[in-house]
Amino acid sequence: MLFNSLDFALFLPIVFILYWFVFRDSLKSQNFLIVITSYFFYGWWDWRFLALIGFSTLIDFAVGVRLDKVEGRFKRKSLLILSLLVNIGFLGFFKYYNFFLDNFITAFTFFGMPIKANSLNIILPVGISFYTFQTMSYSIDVYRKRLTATRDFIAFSAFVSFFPQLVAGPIERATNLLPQFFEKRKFDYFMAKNGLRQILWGLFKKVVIADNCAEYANMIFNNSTEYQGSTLILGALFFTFQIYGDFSGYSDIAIGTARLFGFNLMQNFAFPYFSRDIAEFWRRWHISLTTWFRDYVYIPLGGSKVGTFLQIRNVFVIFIISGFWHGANWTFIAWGALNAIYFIPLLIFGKNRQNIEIVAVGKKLPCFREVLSILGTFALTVFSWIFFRAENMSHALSYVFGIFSEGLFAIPDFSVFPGAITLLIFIVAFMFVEWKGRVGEYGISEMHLISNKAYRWSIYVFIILIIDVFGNTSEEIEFIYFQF
Amino acid sequence: MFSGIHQRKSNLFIFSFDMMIRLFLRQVLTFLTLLLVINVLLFFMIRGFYIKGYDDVDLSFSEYLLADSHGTPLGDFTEIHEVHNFSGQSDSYLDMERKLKYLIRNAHVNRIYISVDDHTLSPTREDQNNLDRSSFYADQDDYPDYGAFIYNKYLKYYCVFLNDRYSLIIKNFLQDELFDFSKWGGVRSKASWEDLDIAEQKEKSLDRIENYFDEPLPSNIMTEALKRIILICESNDIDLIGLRFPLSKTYYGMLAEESYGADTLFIKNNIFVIDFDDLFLEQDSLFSDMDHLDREGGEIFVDILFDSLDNVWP
Repeated sequence: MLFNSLDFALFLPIVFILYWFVFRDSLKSQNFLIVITSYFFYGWWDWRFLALIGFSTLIDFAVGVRLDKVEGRFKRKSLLILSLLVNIGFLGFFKYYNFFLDNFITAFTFFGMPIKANSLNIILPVGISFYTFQTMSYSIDVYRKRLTATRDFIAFSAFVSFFPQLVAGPIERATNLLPQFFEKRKFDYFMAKNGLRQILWGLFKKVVIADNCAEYANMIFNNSTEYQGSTLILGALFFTFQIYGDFSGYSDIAIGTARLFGFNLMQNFAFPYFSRDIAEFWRRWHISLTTWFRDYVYIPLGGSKVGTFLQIRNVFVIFIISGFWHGANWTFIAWGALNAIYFIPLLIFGKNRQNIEIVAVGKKLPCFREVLSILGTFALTVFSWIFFRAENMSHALSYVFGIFSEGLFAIPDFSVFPGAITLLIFIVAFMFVEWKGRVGEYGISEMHLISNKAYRWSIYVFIILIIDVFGNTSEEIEFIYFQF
Repeated sequence: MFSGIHQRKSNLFIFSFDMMIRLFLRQVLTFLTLLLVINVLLFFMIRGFYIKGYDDVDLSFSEYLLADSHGTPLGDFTEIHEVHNFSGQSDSYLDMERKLKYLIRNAHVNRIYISVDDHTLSPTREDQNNLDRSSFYADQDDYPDYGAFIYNKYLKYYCVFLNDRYSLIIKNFLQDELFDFSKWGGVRSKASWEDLDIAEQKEKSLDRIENYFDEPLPSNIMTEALKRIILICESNDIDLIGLRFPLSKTYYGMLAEESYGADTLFIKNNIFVIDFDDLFLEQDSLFSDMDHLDREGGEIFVDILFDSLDNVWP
C-alpha cells in the first residue's frame, strides 16, 4: 500500500478510529491492532513475504530472550551470530545473490576459467533492508546489554512491523521505539496536528517535487547519449531533487503517521542540501541509516579513535557498505566510495565536525562564504547522484563524460521538456520554504506559530491544491527506497 | 482512599482524552468541509470549461450521430435532418458504447450513425478518450464491480481532487495560459488550414499520423468495444451506419493505406459504410486542420451526407 494512494487514504482513518476508539482501553490490544494492520499494510504488496517478517521477528525475539538468560560470552556471541546470520542471510539471498553470482562468473571468465551458473529470478521483498537492520539493532543492543530483552512478543512484533516505517524507514533503534510500545498511549492533540502537517508536507515533496522530477530525470538519464552537457546537468539536478523529495517525503509521511498514533520516530532528514560540507551532509541525510552504520560498524572498527590510516580505512568501509546497502550494483559502491573520497580530506584536517548547527541560525540569509560552501557541497552531491542513478558503471561514466561535451555552457532546450520550467519554479519555491523552516524538523513544522487560523488554513488548502493540480498522480509512482 | 484518587485521576485522563480527540476530529471535519466547498466550486469551474455540454443530450430523437472530434463540427446542423449529434471530442468506442446503452435505456433509438475512420481503432485512443466524462452515462454493468461503479460514476466524476483529468486540465490551463507570457494581453488567432503552405501541412499531418498510427495493430480494447456496439445495435433492432469523414488533400495523400480498419469490421458484418474521406480534397477552406472540418465545412457536409443517405437509404 503506497502512502500516496487512495487505499492508504482509506486505511489510515479506519486504523486511527479503531486504535483510539475501539482498542483504546488496553495497551496490549492497541499493540495487537498495530501488528494486524501492519501485516495487512505489508501484505497489500505481496502477502507471501509476510512469512519473512514473521520469521525474522520470531528469531530475533527468541535470540533476545535467550541473550538475557545466558551469561557465557561464547554462548552470547553464538546467539548474536545466529541473529545476524538469519538477517544478513535473508538480505544476502534476496538482494545480493545474483550480483555475487554474476561477478563470480565474470571474474572466472576473465581468468580464462568460464563457469556456468544460472541466476535466479528473485523478487526483492519490499523494505527488507529496513526491517532487517531494525531487528539486528535490537539483537546487538541486547547483546551489548544496552537494552533488556522484551518478553512481550506482541509488542516486539509491533516494533518490527510498525506500518508507518516498515518499508522505508526511518530505521528505528529498539532503544527509542520499543519502549514506546510499553507506554500507555495518550492522544495528544498538538502531536496529531503536527503529524497531519508533516504528512501534508511529505505528500507535497513526493507527489509534486519527486514524481515530477522523476519524469524528466528518467527521460534524460534513459537517453543520455542524445543530450548535450547542460541538459545532462539538468537531468542530474532533477534526480537530486527527485531522490530528496521522494525519500524525505516518505520519511515525513511515516513520522507524521506515527504521530497520529502517539509515537515519536527519529528525524531522518535535516535539510541536507543546505549543508556546508560533506560531513554535515551525512549528518543530515538519511540520519537513521548513517547513525546505524556509525554505531554498529564505524565505532566497533575503532571509529576516529585510531590512527589516520585506520580512520581512512573505517571511512571507506562505512561508505562502501552504505553504498552496497542501497543495492547490488557497482554504481552504488562507486557512489559510496566517491562520498568517502569527499569526506576523507575533512577527516584528515580535522574539519569534519566544524558545521554542527544548521546554517545561518538566527539570520535570514547566509553569508557569502556560507553560500559558496553550500553550493560547493551541493555540486559534489549532485555529481555523486549520477552514479547512484545510472544503470551501470559504463552508463555513469558516459553520462559524466557527456556533461563535459561542447554543449556544457549551452542553454538546455526546454521545448523538449514541457512543464520543466514550471517544475523549476516549484523547486525554487520548495527550497525557499525549506530554508525558512530549516530550524524546525521539516519545512512547514513552524507553521503552527502563525496565529491567524484563516491564514494558516489557507496555506494548507493552497498546498493541497498544488498537490492535486501539479502532483504527478497519473499513476502512483513507488517510492525509490522501496527497492533498497 | 487510594482507589478514590486513582478513580479521579482516571476520570481526569478520560476527560482530557475525550476533549483532545473531540477537538482534533472537529478540526479535521471542519477542514474537510472547507475542502468539500472548494471541491464544489472547482467542479462548477471544470463543468464550465471541460465538461461543457458533454452531459447534455436530447432524448427526444430517434436517430443519433456518435463520433469523436470529427463529428463535432457538424454541430446541431444534423437536427435539420432529425438526427441528434451526440459526438464528443476524443470519444472512443468505449465512450460511444456507454452513450449508446444510455440512449437505449432512456430514448427510443432507431438508427445510429457512427464514425469508422482509419484512426478510431488506434491504440492511442485507449489513452486519449473521455472515460472520465462519459461515466456520466455509465451504468453499473459498465464496471467490473459495484465499488468501481460508485468510484468512477460518482466519486471521480464529482470529486475534483480524485480526478486526474480534471487536475490535468487545470494544470494545462495554468501552464499554457497563465505562465506563458507570450499569450498575455492579445487575441490569438490560429492559422486556418488553407493558409498553411504545403510543407507546414505535411509537417502537421505527419505529427498526426505518428500520433495515431504508431502501432502496427489496432487496439484490442477498441475493437472489442466496437464489436459490442454492433451486437447491442443488432439485439435492439437499431440500424447502424458507419461514416468515414472527409479528409484534407495533403493528409489524405500522406495517410495512404494507413488504417486500423474499423470500416472493414463493419463491412465484414454486412453493415453499411458511407465513405466520404475524399469528398473535399480540393477544398482546404472547409477544414480547420488536416482531418477536421470547420463549422462551414460541417454545415455543407451534413447536407451532402443526408442527401446521399436519402438516395441509398430512404
